[in-house]
Amino acid sequence: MSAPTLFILFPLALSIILYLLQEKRVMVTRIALGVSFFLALVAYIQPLGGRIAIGSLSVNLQNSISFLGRALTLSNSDRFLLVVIYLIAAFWFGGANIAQTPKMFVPVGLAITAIMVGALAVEPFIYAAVLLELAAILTIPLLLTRNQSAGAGILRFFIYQAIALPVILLAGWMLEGSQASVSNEVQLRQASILLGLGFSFWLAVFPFHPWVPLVMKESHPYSAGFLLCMQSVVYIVIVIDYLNGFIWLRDTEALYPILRTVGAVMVATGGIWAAFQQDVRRLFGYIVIIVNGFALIGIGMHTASGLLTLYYKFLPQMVAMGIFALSLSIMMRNDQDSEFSRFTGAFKQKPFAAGAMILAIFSLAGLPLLASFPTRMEQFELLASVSLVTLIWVLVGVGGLIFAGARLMATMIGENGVEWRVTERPGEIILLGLGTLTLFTFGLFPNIISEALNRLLAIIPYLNL
Amino acid sequence: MEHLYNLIPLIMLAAGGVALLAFDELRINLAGLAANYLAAFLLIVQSATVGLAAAKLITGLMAAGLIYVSRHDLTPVKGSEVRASRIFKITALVLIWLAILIIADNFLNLFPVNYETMAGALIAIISGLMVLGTSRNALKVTMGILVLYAGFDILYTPLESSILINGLLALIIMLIALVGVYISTRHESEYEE
Repeated sequence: MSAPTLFILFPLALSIILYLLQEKRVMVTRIALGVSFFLALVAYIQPLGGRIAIGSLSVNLQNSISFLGRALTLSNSDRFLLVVIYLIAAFWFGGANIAQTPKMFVPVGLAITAIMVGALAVEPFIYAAVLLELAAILTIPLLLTRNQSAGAGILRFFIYQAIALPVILLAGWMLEGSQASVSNEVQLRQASILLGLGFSFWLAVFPFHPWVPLVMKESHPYSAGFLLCMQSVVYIVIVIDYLNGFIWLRDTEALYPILRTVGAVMVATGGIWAAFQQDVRRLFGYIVIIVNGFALIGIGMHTASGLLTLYYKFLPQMVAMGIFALSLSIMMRNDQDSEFSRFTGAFKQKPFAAGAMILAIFSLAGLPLLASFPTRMEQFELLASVSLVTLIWVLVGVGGLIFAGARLMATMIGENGVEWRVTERPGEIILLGLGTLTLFTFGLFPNIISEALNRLLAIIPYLNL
Repeated sequence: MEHLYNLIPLIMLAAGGVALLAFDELRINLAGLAANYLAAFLLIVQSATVGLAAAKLITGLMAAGLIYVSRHDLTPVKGSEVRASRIFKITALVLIWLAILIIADNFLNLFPVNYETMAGALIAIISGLMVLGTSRNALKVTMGILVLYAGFDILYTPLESSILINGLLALIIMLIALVGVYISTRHESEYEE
C-alpha cells in the first residue's frame, strides 16, 4: 500500500459511498469524522515510506504512486499538513449535524479534502492547480442553500476560480521552461506576474476579494466556512510550494516586500470593512481576507521563523473559524437574517453561541489569552523588525476587527425585552464549550501545542527547526 | 499569417464570440459555443495529435450538449437585450479583435506557437472574458467560462501533451457545464421557462 492510496484515494472512494448513503446523516457523519481523525492520527504517529506493524500484520507504506505518467507523492515532510488538513476535516464534520448543513456536506467535504491533499501530492507540483479547480467546482453545489438561488457571490467565486487555473498553468509552464535558462528576465517577470494574478484570484487578494463576503452571505455559514478555512490553508501551502519549487522565484528579493505589502493591504482593507459591517456573515468573509493577508505577510517575511508562525497558526485559526461558523449556524437556525440588529439581546437567548462567537472573533483578531495571540505577537515582532509602516497598517486592520467584535458584542448584550432563557441544546453547549476551551488552551499554553507539532515541523526542510 | 486557411477557424471563433455576447437565445449561444470548439479543434490539430484534438472537440460538444439537453426549455425574456446594447457589444468585440490581430505577434515570444494559434486563443479568451464581464446569467457565465477554456486549450495543448492533465482538463470542462446547469436551475435568470 502507498501513502497516496491511504490519504487520497481511500477517502475519495469513501466519499462516493457516503454520498450514496447521505440520507443516513448521523452514520455518514460519524464515519467521515472517524476516518478523518484516523488519517490525522496515522499521519502524526507513522513515518511515511516505512513499514506499519499492527500485531502480526505488516504493511509497507510507500511514498509514491504513478498515475498516467504523473506521480502522487507524500513524504514525511508532508505529514504536518496531512495532520492539519484531516484535523480540519474532522473538526468541521464533527459539528456538521448540529449546524444542520446540507446533507451532501460531509461526503462532498471529504471528497474536497482528499482532492486538496492530492493537489499537495501531485508531481510536478504545477499541476496542483488542476486538482484545486476540481475541488472548487465540487464545492459549488455545497454553497447553494435549499431555498435560495445562486447569487452574485457564488457566480463570482465560480468565475474567479475558473480564471485562476489557466493563468497558473500557463505561468507554471513558463517558469518550468525558464528553470533551464534564467537569462530571459523579461519572460521570468511576465511569468511571475501571471502567477501572482492567478494566486490573487485564489486567495481573494485586493481587489479580487468581493466574492468572499458575498459567498458567505449567500451560503450556509458552516459549508462556506469549511470551504474558506480549507482553502486558506491549502492555497497558502501551494504558494509556498511554488516559491520553493522555482529557485529563481525564491531568490527574487523584490518579491517579499510585495508579498508583505499585499498582505498588509488585505489585513487593513479587511479590518476597515469589517469595522463598518452590518452583517455577521459578511464579517466572517472579511475575517477570511484578514487571515489570508496575515498568511501572505508570514511568507513575505522570507525567514524560517516567519513561515513557522504561519504553520503554527493553522490549527488555532481552524478552531476559531469553526466555532464562529458553528455558533452562527446555531443562532441562524430559525431566522436566516444575519444583520447585526437581528442579534440584539442574543446573549439572553443563546448565551453559549453568542459568547463563543465573540471569543472566536477576538481570537482571530489575536487578543491576549486566546488561541491566535502567541503567533500574532510573533508576527508583529517580526514585522516591526522589517517595516514599521506595514506594521501600522496591519494594526489598523486588526483594530478594525476588534472594533467589529466589540460592536457585535454590544449589540448582543443590548436589551430586547425578553427574559433570560438558554435555548441551546445540550449537544450544542458541549461542542461550543469544548471549542472555547480549546481556544483558551491554545492561548494559555502555546508550548504544549508547539512541542506536539515540532516533531513534524522539524522534518520540513525550509523551516530550519 | 502563415496559412490563409486558418482564417476559417479565426472567423468561426469571432462568430462564436458574437453569438454568445450579443444574443440571448440559448440555441444561438450554444451554436456559438460549438463553433468555438470546432475552431479550436481546427487549430489544435495542426500542432497536436488528431486524437488529442478530437478528444477536446468531443468534450466541448458534450458540454454544449449537456447544457442544451438540460435547459432547452428556456426562452429569453422579451426586451432583455436592447438593440443599442447589442450594437455596443459587437462594436467592442470588433475593436478588440482588430487589436488582437495587430498585437498577437508580440505574444509569440512567450509561447512557442504560430500566429494563428495565438490570435485564435486570444480571440476566444477575450470573448469569454467579455461574456463573463457583461452577464449575470448563470448559464451565460458558464458558457463564457467554457469559451475562455477553449481559448486556453488552443494555447496550452501544443505546450502540454500529458494524458493526465488533458484528461483532468476535459473532466473540469464537463464539470463546469454540469455545475453551470445546476446553478442555472436555482438562479433567477434572464430566461423564463
